[in-house]
Amino acid sequence: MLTRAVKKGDSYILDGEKMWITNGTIADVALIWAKGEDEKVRGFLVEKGTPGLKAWTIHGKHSLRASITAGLSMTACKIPAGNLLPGVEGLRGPLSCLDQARYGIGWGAIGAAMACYDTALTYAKQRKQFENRPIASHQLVQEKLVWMITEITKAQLLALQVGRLKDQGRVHATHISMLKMNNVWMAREIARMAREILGANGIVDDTCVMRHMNNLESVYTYEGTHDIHKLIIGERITGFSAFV
Amino acid sequence: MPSFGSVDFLEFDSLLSDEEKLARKTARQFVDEKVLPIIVRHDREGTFPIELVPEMAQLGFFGANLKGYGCAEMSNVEYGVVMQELERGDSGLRSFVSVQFTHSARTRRNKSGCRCCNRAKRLAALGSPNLNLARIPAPC
Repeated sequence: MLTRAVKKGDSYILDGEKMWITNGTIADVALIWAKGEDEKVRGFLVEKGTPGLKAWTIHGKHSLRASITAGLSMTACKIPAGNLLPGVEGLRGPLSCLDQARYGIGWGAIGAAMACYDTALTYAKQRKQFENRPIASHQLVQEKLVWMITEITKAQLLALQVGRLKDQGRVHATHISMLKMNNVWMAREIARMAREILGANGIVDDTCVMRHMNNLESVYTYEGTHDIHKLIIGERITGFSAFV
Repeated sequence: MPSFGSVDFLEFDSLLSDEEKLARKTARQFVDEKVLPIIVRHDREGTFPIELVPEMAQLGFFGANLKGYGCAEMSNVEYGVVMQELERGDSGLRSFVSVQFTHSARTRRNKSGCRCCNRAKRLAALGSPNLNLARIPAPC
């Protein structure tokens, strides 16, 4: 983390840059994580219009197109000392936010997968090929559809158990990692498989599959990449950190 | 457009409470009626459907699983099934709700809706009573 916060009287001076900030150009307030002079990470609220704060929209995305993504830069950005989040320091603050977001993503991916599966199943039952038979009657198409429904079913049960544990206050960050890792992976695979079943029809936006497929490319790597979640779980079960 | 049924091979719904099914039904209907008819246009044009934000606020989708501040106080499972339905619409829409705490000015002007969301509430939990959070988690 390169963004810095230096205390000066009753203010903090923030310097640094953040990328890939959803809603960054329409937000009224941003929560900025920055390192202090003691090298500890803390959270700061920065209001829109604060001198030194700039936000710009990132254009040219092939994914999450119906979402605003921005870059933020802070140059000698002066904020009141009261905008510091006093209850947390170190990585616990941002990581607890990530847990919350990753949990939502783990469930959300099921929705994208369901939309793609439903579209592929409907199409496969209607589209006729070879002796005027629906392609759903072909073995290799059934194999794909069965793989999809099996993975969706497993993903539902995983999400529900993590949710129940969260409601009981017993969830561990590594449980949420498994949820995010598995469910986004299965949704990404299902979107590609659905596109394949739809053939050329899958590449136009009359159907939802390629939009979901492109969106899921982002979801696969944001809020902790697929690989990072493997390392988080790997450390939990082996006791060895393999991050570096 | 016919409404989305369900994808339920293993009687998953039998594991859900009535409240959880109601939360999902509310979000499902919202996605079918309000999101799916417009999302392709937004995806083509590269725009966020900001016009949906006031209704999502009214439905309690923001900060839905957090306590107090006028939020919907859904359980984590209720919140989960709502996220599922929103992402059935579009990942960008679900991202708006699940990843962000920041809000558009338009949201805050919607006095009848909840103005909070996940990270805003987390901020409130982490912050001291002296911290000036007047702009974020005001009760609705």
